Amino acid sequence: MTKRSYWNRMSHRRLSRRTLMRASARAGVGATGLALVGCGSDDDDQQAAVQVQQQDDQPQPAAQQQAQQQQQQQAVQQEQQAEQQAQQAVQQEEQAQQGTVEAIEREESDEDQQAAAGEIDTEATLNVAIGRYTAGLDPHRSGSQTNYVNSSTTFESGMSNHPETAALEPNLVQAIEVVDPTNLNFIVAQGITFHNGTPYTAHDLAFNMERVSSVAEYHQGGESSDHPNGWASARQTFGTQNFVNWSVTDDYTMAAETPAPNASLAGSVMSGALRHHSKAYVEEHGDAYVDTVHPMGTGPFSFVEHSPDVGAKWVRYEDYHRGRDGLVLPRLPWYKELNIWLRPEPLAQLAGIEAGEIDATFNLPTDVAAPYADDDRFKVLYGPASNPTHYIMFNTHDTVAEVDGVPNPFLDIRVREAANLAINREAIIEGLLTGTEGPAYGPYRGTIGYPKEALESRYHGYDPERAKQLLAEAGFPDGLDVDLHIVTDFQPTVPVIALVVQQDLEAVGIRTTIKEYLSSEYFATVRTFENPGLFYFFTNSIAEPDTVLNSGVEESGFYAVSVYPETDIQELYEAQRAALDPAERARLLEDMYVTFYENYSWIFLTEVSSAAVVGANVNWPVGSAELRGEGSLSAIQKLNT
Amino acid sequence: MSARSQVATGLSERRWRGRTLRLRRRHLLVVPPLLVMLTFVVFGIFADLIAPGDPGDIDVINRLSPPAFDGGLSQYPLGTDHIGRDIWVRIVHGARVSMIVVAIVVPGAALFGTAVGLVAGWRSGRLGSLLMRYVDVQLALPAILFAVLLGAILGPSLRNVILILLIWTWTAYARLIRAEVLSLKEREFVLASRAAGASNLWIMRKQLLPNVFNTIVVVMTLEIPIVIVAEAALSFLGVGTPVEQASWGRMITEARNYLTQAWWVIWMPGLALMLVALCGNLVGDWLRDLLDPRLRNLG
Repeated sequence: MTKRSYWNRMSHRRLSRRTLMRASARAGVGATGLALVGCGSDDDDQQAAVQVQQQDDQPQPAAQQQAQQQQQQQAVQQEQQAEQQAQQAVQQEEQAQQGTVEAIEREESDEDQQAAAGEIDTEATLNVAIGRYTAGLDPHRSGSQTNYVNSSTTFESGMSNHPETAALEPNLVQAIEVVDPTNLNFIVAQGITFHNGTPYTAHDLAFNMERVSSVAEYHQGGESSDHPNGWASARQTFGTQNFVNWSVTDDYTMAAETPAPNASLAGSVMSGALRHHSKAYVEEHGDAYVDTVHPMGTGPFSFVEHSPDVGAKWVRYEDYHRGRDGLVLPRLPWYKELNIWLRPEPLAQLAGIEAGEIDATFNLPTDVAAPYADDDRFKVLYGPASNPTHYIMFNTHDTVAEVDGVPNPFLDIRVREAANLAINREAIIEGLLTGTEGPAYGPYRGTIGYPKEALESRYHGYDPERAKQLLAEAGFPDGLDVDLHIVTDFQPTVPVIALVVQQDLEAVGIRTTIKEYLSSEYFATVRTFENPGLFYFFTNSIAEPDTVLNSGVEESGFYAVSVYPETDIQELYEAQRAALDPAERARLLEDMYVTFYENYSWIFLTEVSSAAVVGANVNWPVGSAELRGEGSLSAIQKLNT
Repeated sequence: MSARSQVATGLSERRWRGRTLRLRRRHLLVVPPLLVMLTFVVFGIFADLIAPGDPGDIDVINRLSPPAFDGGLSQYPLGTDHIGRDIWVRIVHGARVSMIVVAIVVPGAALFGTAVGLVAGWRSGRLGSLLMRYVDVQLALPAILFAVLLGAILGPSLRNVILILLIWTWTAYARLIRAEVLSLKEREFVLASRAAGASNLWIMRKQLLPNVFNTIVVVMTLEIPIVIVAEAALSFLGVGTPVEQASWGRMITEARNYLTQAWWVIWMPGLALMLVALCGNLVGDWLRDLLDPRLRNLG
């Protein structure tokens, strides 16, 4: 199989000076912004205003700009300092990369010339195949695949995570102004309009937070989970429940109070989890209308129509507030129309590509897509799967402290270590996956504060002999028998990896019986914490780590099957969450990740990729971003042939 | 002997010879299907000897290796699947799964369905109607949907597959046997037994059951391929055998994404399934012809 190192692609990719400056400046400003959020003084009269960089293409009426400048004078000064620092860093980096700058600029200018010469068909229609349709079009309601498409086309989030640096970027919410550590002002961007031309205001922001919080009225059971809020809304409400209250103070400001300082707030509430409807539109048409007939947002595509279980259509929103800058984030699309077609089977999707009916399909198993790389008519792209790292949880809850009168074996760290040493991750990566993935160490490596080097230097490795020895030392010389619970319809690689894991574990004496579940029952089963044994699970690809830690590591989390009160993991978790200083938070996160890893808290498996296949006339510069991620669809270019 | 009768005798002999020849040909034609079915049974019983090794053994480095005759590794005569499991070993062990299912479901359903059919036919009043209305309801439900529904409720396991197929298939016996019993119970020998004071159980056991036995055997034979395909269908749909168990349906469903890049992964279990289902039907047809006196005379 051809080596395709998407993880390392960025390190080999030659970046333009402009891109580097922009990215570095934003990262610097983002970091400064977070630092300022963290450093908010208790003194009420000393407001530490945080103003994240205003976008170049963001129109602002002069009077409002003036008022905002007066209000946020301090923030602007700090921003300028941050920008100066960032520019210094860029200059240093520029010097280091002197040799490549010319070539880089040529690449970028080639792209510009392509567009100017009409090589990119800006009037094109793009047909995309997906595997599952959705029961609804309201992103507050369901988490299925079309809804992901709908969420990132019709709708937008308050902020976005930079696809490479994970830093928060302003979007509908331009800045979070810190009044004190528990009181924040959300400054909403001006000049942004919904698809019907009405302006986006702070009233819409407050309405959307209200809407996802009032789950009892609206989210009457998720389509695919017994959780009263469904899956998607669970994360949204997790975010909004971190507020004591919120209220609109003027058209472009929403004041909010949190019960305690919360470093993860912006990342968990403003990016991805919460998509923004128009308050007036929803109130005028009702929940059912936006869910089943015609949703409307501020996103780069305007929804046209859909036919359930057949497909849906969008057109480019010509007044979209962001131009094209090459980043895989919501931007003005290169093509005019987007059609999504339901093709449940990967082979049917690929047949559509071969027949020329489909231009792009994604979320494919990598080994199914791989043969298309050898065909000049197609291109194959790889990226992190929507659940990019896989692991297995030991049930260490009190409910299973004893199983059939015998102490739970996984309470013994030696058994957990043995299980980790039993897994031949390299064989899984080389044999089953693309060969470019790495071992899993916990949450997705694209998260904020991920301590890559610290974790990689502690890699558990593969040592079945040591594993057997550890099991014998732990009192299991003849091995042990446990259930391995897996979900079979969530991601195609799960049952496949589970079978390999079963064989690896059996080789050292941990004999597993695989218990299969459909996702509709699996997540509910996991949350009971009553079944002993092992539970296959996966992280999400959201840049804010607390979206995983809160549910999978924090002791009261929905899916926190593995809890270790004897360690200081919980203390570290709480501390990082309250650490408003980004540097301090990163240090605590590193400690927590490392402690969690060295405690053999899970069986850490591997990263998992997914693939996209596109026609030869389709250019999808997705970089290392998730193929299904926010902004990825608007990054596609269809070339004239 | 008159010329007429001589001619008649000659014709009759020729007919007799022709019929014998046709019968012999028919019997000969059933030999290959019988051999296939016999092989299937042998595979099921002696799977460990014929294809030693664990059907779950994974060799990820040699995944999607083609069959030995198509340039693949000699250790994998029929190639490997998408995670490197030996397809030959899995087919042979999959035959065991199918055989276990057949060995339990077919006689089990026959036993239960026959009992219900006998009672419903003999007691054709309220009890018979009640039983038959239930059979009607179940037969009116789309069989595969019914099975998938049960499978989704019970979860994937071999035991549940057997249970589902038992629930699914017994109605065919009940309906047929009842129809036969309704006819038989009006016959003179049954009426005579009743007049002589024979008990219901005695009549059912000694007079009705022997007379419907041929029907039961024929239906059982025809149900064998149905049950094998049904088990495969349930496994294909993910509600049959568990993921770690080798079964033909499971093999086919796991292989469907590799149809275009590794033909053998889906062809081999598909071929095995098709062969056994086809031969099972041929043997069933032959047996029906053999046991049904009306069809035998027509031959």
